[in-house]
Formats: sequence, structure tokens, C-alpha cells
Amino acid sequence: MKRKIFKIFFIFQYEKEEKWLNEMSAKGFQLTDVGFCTYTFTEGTPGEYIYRLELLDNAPSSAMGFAYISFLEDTGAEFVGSMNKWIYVRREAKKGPFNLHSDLVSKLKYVAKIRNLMLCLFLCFIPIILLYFNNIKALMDGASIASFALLVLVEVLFGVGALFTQFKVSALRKELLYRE
Amino acid sequence: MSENENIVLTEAVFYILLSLKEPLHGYGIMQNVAGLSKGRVNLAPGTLYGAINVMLEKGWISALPGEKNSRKKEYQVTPSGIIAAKNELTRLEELILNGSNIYGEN
Repeated sequence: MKRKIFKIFFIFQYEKEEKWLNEMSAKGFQLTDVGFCTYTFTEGTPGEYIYRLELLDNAPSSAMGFAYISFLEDTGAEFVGSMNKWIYVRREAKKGPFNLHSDLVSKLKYVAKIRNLMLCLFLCFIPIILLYFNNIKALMDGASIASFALLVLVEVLFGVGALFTQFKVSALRKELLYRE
Repeated sequence: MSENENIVLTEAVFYILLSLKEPLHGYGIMQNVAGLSKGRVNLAPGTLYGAINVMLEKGWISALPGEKNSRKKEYQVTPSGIIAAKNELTRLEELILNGSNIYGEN
């Protein structure tokens, strides 16, 4: 029995997304495929798998990406699917706890990567917004205003994401002041 | 050389250096470290992968030419990796000595 669910998680909501996937697993729905904002679940034993997701530095199909995924598989994890550079993996719960990062340094490196992505998107969109505004100044019709509002909304989301992940980076840095 | 004497290794790196005295693959390292630390240190694959890459760059470990299509790639410590581990051991001995003197049960 398969079930497809459409759900939106923004880039910086990866922890929320992961939590949701594990909640679904606890209910007996194991994720077996991913698409753009679509998740395919197969009915199975509740809590059978532990799910983790990660943003890779390279595409999963690249040599480096493939090497990392193979490495994960060697440690007992299964590759579930990918969306751009995001990979979804799982491991049988009976094999024990499953995490991708176990120390602060590697956790910090990862969160900083997400923060940099958000910041980069935020900064890149500034000229796009200014350009767009410049072009529609004359028109100012319903469609232009609506699409401009959408553009601004996306930009705000990028900004929120950058701030949100920056808070996490600061918290981790603070932890690192006294422990590993 | 003096640079090596003044650095503090992370627990993960130190235990990986110990584990690779003999050739071992990724999952083997994880199991070995969990065994050595009696379950206290559980290296996550992402963390292990990052540490291995840094150690390869620093020349402390080398990847062994395994079988073709080697998914179970094996690694082993290099002479300079052994030196790094021994330096760390010296540092840890200093900490234990001072710690025992001040807070030890004597």
C-alpha cells in the first residue's frame, strides 16, 4: 500500500522535515521515494526505520556524492532517494541509533553550509527584486504586483532562513567554547 | 614538527588513528571505536567521513588500493599519523598526571 503526500518544507526547515519523516515511520509509513514537495510512503512496520536527510556538497550522481552515499551504505544505511543535492537515507532501527553527525564540529560545519546557502540566495535575489521593480514600475497592474509580492515573499523566506540558521550556528559555536 | 606538538586532536580523530593501526574500512572503524570506548563514542558516518577526508589530506592515513569497484575501501595509518597519535598521547598523559594530582583519589 503506497501513499503519496504533498508537503512543503523550506530549505532551512530540514530538521522539521526529518522529524516528520520519523513520525510517519513511527505510525507505520516508511518513506520509499521523494520528489519535489512529494513524499511516497509504503505501509510497513511502525518504527522500522530511522530516517535522516542531508544536503550534499555535490550532486548524488557525481563521483564524490556517490562515494559518500556508498560509504553510508557500507555503515548499514539505505539510500531512499534524492532531490537535487538533498539525500534521504534510512537505517533499520534494530541496528541501533542512527545519526549522520556525532560531534559538534561536524554539526556546525553542516549548519553553516545551510546558512551560507540561505544567505547566498538572499543576497542574489536583491538585484533581481530591484530589477523587477524597475521593470514593472510603469505597468503596475494586478499580475505584476502579485508576482512582485511573491518575489518579495520568497526573499523574506530566504532572510528568515538565514537568520534562523545563523542562530543555530551561534548556539553551536557557544557550545564549542567549552566542549567538543 | 613543533606544530604537531601543540595541537589538540578531537576524540574522534584520535580513536580513528588508533583503529587504523591495521587496515580497516569505514564501518569497521565505527565498530572498533565503539568497542574501545565501551559504547561511549559512537562515530556517525557523516562525522567519520569528514574526519577521514581531513586525515587523508594531512597524510595521517592512506587509502589502500582495494579491490576494483571497492565500496569497502580500507584505510591505514601512516608514519606521520602514528607520530600525531603519539604526540596526542603525551598530551593526554600530562592532563591525567595533573588531573590525578589535583582531583585524584589519593
